[in-house]
Amino acid sequence: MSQPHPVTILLVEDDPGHARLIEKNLRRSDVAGDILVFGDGRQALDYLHSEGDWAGRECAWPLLMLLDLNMPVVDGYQVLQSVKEDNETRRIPVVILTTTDDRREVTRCYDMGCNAYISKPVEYDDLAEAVRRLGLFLSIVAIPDRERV
Amino acid sequence: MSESEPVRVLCMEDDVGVARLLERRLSRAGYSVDLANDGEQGLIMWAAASYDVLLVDHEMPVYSGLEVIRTLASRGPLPPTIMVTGAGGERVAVEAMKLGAGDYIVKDADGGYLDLIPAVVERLLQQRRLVDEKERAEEALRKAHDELEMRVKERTAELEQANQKLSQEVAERERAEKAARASEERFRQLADLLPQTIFEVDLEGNITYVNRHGFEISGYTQEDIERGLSALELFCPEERERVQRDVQMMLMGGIVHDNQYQALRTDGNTYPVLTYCAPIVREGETAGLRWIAVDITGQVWAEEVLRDEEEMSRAQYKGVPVPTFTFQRKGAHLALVDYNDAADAITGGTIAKFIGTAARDMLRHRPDILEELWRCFRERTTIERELRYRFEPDGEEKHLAAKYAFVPPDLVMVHTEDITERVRAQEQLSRNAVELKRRNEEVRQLAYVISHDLRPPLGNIRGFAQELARAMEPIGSAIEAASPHLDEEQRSAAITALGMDVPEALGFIDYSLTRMDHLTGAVLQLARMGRRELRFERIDMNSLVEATLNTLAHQIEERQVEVRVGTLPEVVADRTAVEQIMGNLLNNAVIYLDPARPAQIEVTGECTGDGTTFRVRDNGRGIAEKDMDKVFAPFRRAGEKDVPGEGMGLAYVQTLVHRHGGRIWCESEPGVGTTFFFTIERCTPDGANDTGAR
Repeated sequence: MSQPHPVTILLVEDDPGHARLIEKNLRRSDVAGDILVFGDGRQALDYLHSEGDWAGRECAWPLLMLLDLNMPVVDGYQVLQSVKEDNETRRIPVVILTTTDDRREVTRCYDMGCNAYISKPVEYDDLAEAVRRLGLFLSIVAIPDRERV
Repeated sequence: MSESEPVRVLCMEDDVGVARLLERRLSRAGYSVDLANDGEQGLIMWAAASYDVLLVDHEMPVYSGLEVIRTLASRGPLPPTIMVTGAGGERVAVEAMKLGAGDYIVKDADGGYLDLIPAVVERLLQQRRLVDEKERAEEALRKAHDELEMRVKERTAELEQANQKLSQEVAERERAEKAARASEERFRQLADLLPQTIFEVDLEGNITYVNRHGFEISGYTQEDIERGLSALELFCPEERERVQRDVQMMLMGGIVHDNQYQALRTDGNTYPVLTYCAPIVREGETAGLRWIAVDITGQVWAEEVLRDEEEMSRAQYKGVPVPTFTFQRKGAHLALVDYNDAADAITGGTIAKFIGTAARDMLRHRPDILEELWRCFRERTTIERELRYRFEPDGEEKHLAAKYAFVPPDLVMVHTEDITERVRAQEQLSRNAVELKRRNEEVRQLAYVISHDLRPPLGNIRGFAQELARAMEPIGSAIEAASPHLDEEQRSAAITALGMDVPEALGFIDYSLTRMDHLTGAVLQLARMGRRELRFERIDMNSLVEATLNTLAHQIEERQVEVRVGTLPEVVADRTAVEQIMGNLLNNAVIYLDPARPAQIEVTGECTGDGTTFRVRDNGRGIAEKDMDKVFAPFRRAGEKDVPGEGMGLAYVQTLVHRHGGRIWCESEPGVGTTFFFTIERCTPDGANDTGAR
């Protein structure tokens, strides 16, 4: 079950080291598509809506978003809300990838429409393993393509 | 008819000659004569003047003599009248006599009858005089008789009245005497009943009567009185002169103001009396004195006590450090009538000028206080309130705890307590509390942020360290492959770096990270505990402790710990928190047991003033004095580091106890044991505590 076009992964994570580690481990699981890293929510939303730095540049499709919650400028909750409330973007799968494992936050994110919630394991080995499996998962799930409304 | 005046005669005669002759004859006889020519004129003259005798000729024009007589007779009794007729006029004469005429004369031809007329007139007058006299006598007699009868009647009535009055008086006197006897008896009995001394003395001052109480209290007897006893004997010798003087004064109607004396008993004891006396008056004369002597021993004693108390309370009132202002009702106002030293001080001495001033004027600017003064007065109640008041215009505004107390009959005392300092301290305290709360929140937030934000970089270090370790693998094999091309020194350095330095560095990085990870995790946990919402419920502590001990059953059995649990009071608290508290304390007790002696753990609890205090006692290794202050500090561990842990257990416990508004402390002696105490405030299940703010 391969995609007609490999999925582009938007990695929204304010910690560049962390983002790099995730990217490395995703690659190890043979994720082939582009991995775009955004340091805050604002940039990610700008990319989706071709605004700001991304003005005039069409964003890639199909898309999948890996979203951290605690970020400066526009945080993960706001990004999630914006994506899920906008008819153009609401079908983009959003996977929350964060250190928080508070039950209330998990519930809140699902209530807001996130598609999966992953608590980052504290141990690096575990994290690496989790991200690798996520990569494997992402390589087999079907991602909806752009649908103009 | 007076003797001095002449007798007046009216003659009615139509014959002028005859008339003239009649006039001459009668005038000569001493009579005053008037003449009428006919009956008509005669009647007019008779009516106009007063005549004593009437002489009428029968044969006259207009009215005949008989007609004249008849007319006069019809008007009343006929006066002495003489009818004069012609010859053969006897029938007329009889008629006239019947009508009341006194006499008649028959005219003779030669006029001889004229000589008879004066005699006839005189006789008639005589007759009339006699009749008058008789009538007068009879009248007098009748009068006298009537008078007599009247006087007899009057006298009889008087006598009857006197008689009646006399018998009334007799009856009344009998009644009065009887009443007087009864009254005297009654008064005597009454006097004997009175619990006060009553006695009477004669003018010489000798006692004539003493009532029963008088005998009892003085010790004298009726025999003493009969032998003769001076009233002065009833008083102390030193009082007698004054008594005598005062008695004289009273006998003269004067007033004695100090009527209190020292009385003397026959047994030599004395007692204070108040005396009242009044003169005994018999038949308008002073016969002696009557005394009442009231024993005021109790009263004097009470007065002394009262005076002492009054002085004492006055001194207290004056000296007590509570500023007190006393208002009294004066007409339509409440006026300031007194104040104490403290009031003088708090007002900076300005209160003195308000003495006698109406509260309305004093408190013109404070109608609220005035209203409360009046309410206190009207409702006779006590009002307590806190208020602010500026005693001096330029002075500081003071916070006062005021108490308005109604003091019968018409006083309102206002006690004020200057609580300015206290209020300020309280305000400062609550400001501090707010500040503390804010800082606590900041610290908690900081703890959360630190622990939370520290983790990602730590994770990165760990991740990249492992990436580094992973990257060393191809380098290791490359070095190995390249080693034949390296000189000895290079090879040795590379082997040392790859085989020892790098693994060592990575090892330390890993160890430090693990340590750091635990620490931040612990701080996070602590911060979460401080933030977690507590759910208060009723907790059966005995079953909670039992459940906790079950989780430790393995260690308890292994170490053969003797556990005793008393009857624990129920608490209202957050179940999870109390489980953690108990779990930590019991776990510590088990962990830090001293293997040198049989282990004992005891859990007890009791209700205290504002909550419940629990006690977890062990006979373990104990805590050294120098370590006591580390017991509840985070990351601090007391004693040997032979027990694994972060040193956070008691820090958590303390946080949880504090969040319940409680306290936790411990007493310990190394080698003997440790006892942890903690209190849980008394709460209601909805979380509102009964004793104050958390």
